[in-house]
Parts: sequence; C-alpha cells; structure tokens
Amino acid sequence: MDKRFIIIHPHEIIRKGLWAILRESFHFEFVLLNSVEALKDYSGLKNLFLVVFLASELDSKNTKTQIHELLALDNTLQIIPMYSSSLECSPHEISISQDEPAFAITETVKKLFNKQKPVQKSMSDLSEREKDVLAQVALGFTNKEIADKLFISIHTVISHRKNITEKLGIKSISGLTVYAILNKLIDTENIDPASLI
Amino acid sequence: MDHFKADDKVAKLIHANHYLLPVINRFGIRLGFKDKTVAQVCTEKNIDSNFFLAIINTYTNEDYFPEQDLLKFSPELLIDYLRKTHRYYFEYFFPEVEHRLNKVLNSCQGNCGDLQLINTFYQKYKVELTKHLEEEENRVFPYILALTGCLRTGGQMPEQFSNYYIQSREPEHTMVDQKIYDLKNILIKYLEANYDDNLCNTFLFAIFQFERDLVDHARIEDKILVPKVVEIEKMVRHG
Repeated sequence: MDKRFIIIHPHEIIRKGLWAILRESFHFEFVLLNSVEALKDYSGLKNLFLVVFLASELDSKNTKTQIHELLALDNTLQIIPMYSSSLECSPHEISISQDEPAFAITETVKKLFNKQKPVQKSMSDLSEREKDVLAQVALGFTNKEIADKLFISIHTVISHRKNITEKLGIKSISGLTVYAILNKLIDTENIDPASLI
Repeated sequence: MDHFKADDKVAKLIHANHYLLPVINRFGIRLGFKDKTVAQVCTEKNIDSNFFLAIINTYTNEDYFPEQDLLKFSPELLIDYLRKTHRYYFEYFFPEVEHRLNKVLNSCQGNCGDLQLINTFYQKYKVELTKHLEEEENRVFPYILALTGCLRTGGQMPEQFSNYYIQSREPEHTMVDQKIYDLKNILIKYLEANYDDNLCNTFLFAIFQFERDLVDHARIEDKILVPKVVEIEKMVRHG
C-alpha cells in the first residue's frame, strides 16, 4: 500500500522541519498543512496508508473525528500526535515530541511501519507457469483462449496475469509483449515482433 | 509541499518545481519574472489567478484537489488550457522525444533488435495517444462547448450531439498512462544497456516529464472537467 505523510501544524518552522527530517529516510509524498480544515482539499485520497502528524494543540476528540471522517473511509489511517515536550508524551500511544533528536522520530515511524508490514510478495523471477501465460498474452490470446490452451480455469489465468504484472511492474499488454520478446519467451523467428506489440 | 499562493513569487514556483515551466508557458507566462508574484503576473496577462493556482498546485502535488474551488471555473477555461497542452504534445513533445530516441538508436552497439522494440512500442503508443487526443479535439471539446453554450442561451443541443453524453466517450486515459509508465520501466529494468548512457538518460528525462504532464492532464479531465460536464448535462438535457 502506498504511503503518504500528512503534517498538520500551525507553525511553518515545525512543518518544514519535520518534513526535512522524515524525507531523509522516507521517500513518500508529503502534504504540509497549517490546520485540520485544510485537509478538506485532500478528501479524494484513496487506498493509501496515511500517517498524520498532528500538532498536540490541534489534537482533540473533535479534530480526530474530523480527520477520521475525511480520510479513514478509503484509507488506512494512523494519527501520530506531535508534542512540544517529551514530558507530555504517554508511553501508551505512539507519539513524537519536538525536543527529541531526529533519529528518535525516524525510529518511531519505522517501528510503526514494521508493525504494519504486510507479507511481501517476493519479486523474484516469474514461475514457469507464469511464463507460459505471459507468452500466450504476448501472442495476443484472450484469457478464455489461454485457459483452454493451458487446461486451466479463466480464474487461474486472471490470477497469473495479476501476479505477472505485479512482479514485472508492467501493466499494458504491449508492454508485457515487449518483455516477453526481450526475454525470448516467444519464438519470434517466424513472427514479426512489431506485429505483436 | 505547501501550496503555492497568489503572493508567492513566480520565480519561487519554478525553483520549487521546474516541471512547471511548460505549464506556465501555456498561460502565456514566459521567463524573466523578476520579483513578480503570481497575482501580479496573472493581472498583467489577464489570467484568472484562482484557476492558475489550481492548475499549478494540482500539477505539483497529485493529492491536492480543491474540488469546490476548481468547479467554479468555466469549462471553456479548462478546454483552452487542455488544447494548449495538446498543442505542446504535438508541436514540441513528440518531435523532441523522437529526436532523442533516434540518437539513442544511432548510438547502439552490437545487437540493436531489442532497442528497436522500444522504438516500435513508442511508435504504436504515439498513434494510440494521437487518436485519443484527436477524439477529444474533434468530438469531446466541441460537445462541451455546445453544451455550455446551451446552458448560457437556453437553446437546443445541435443535432450531431443528440445521442452523445460525456460518459459515452472512451475511457482510455488509464491505458494511455500505463503505457508510458511501461515504456519507462522496461528501459530502466529490463533492457540491456548497449547504447550511449547520456543519450538514453536524455531520452528518459523527456519521458519522465511527459508522464507527469500526461497524468496531470488526465486528472484534470477526469476529476474536474467530466464532473463539471455531467452537472451541466443534468441542467441542460434533463432540467
């Protein structure tokens, strides 16, 4: 799941400071806002893991509800309160404070991600079966035709195709075809490769 | 990133995001800003500064989406901007990318069949994208202009559009975006580097810039223009 950091703090010096610290370790998109109200312009966010750093002075039951209403429906949401002093922090919640050193802030966020990390699909090479399916896709066959040729169900073909796209980072059929030709998954001696792309 | 605001200097915009250069050119804004702010330049050039800010902010931050504000603009403004974007693709981007790609091809040492595949992929992609852009120019935009005309005058829709609705156009944007991403990724991950590195980098820079432009272009159409048109359709055709 793609991640986004949203930093909400009334003071620019804090917003930009936290941004500068985090972007050294995390290469996600950042959104910097001076109030919870400004979040309204971001209500279109979907399917993301959102980490909201919220200034403790803005942190109330009310604002939390507001943030949840705007973002939690279509996203995974984690709010991290930002205190001005570590004395205010409670050991029972994930939080950061402005008197912590930068590495401690980075550590807190890393720990949060490790906790949430889903089982990663291995990005290793394609399986033999996936190569078979990919070759058929490159030759221009439909899912139904591929299923018939390989004696598998359409459902299995679709699931192979999804895995292929995820593993390779190539989505379009013509892109997959280029990959198949580059890796000699299809015999192009008797076919003009250009006619397949 | 923080949003750009009307009192930001235009020079600051470009220092923060140089990809914006062709975007501001589409508004007729050219280099040599001195210390002028967005508001000043917009007044000089007679540009709606809210519209300008919405465009550059969505371009810079893909999550930024001030829908209520953006929906206030007339579709004519958006179409004018989109047409200029199309012209940029045809007059500058395609020739430039082909020029760069040819240089990479010419620098190839040894077996160049693989690199030729990239060329084929690009050529077919260009045909597809051109078709998509022409469909917008020849059918979608005239339809929207006729529709907004009807809204203003209370007249009837012209005969040629009697069965046309904005949702009936082909939803090709995702495919068009995907292919440019694939092109990039195949070069980065899977192609053996038997060409001049600097020439290939120059080609890739152009593709990165274009992908950004295209995704933004699609976002403006799908998220701003289309909902706006659907709204007008309700008023004009069912109201």
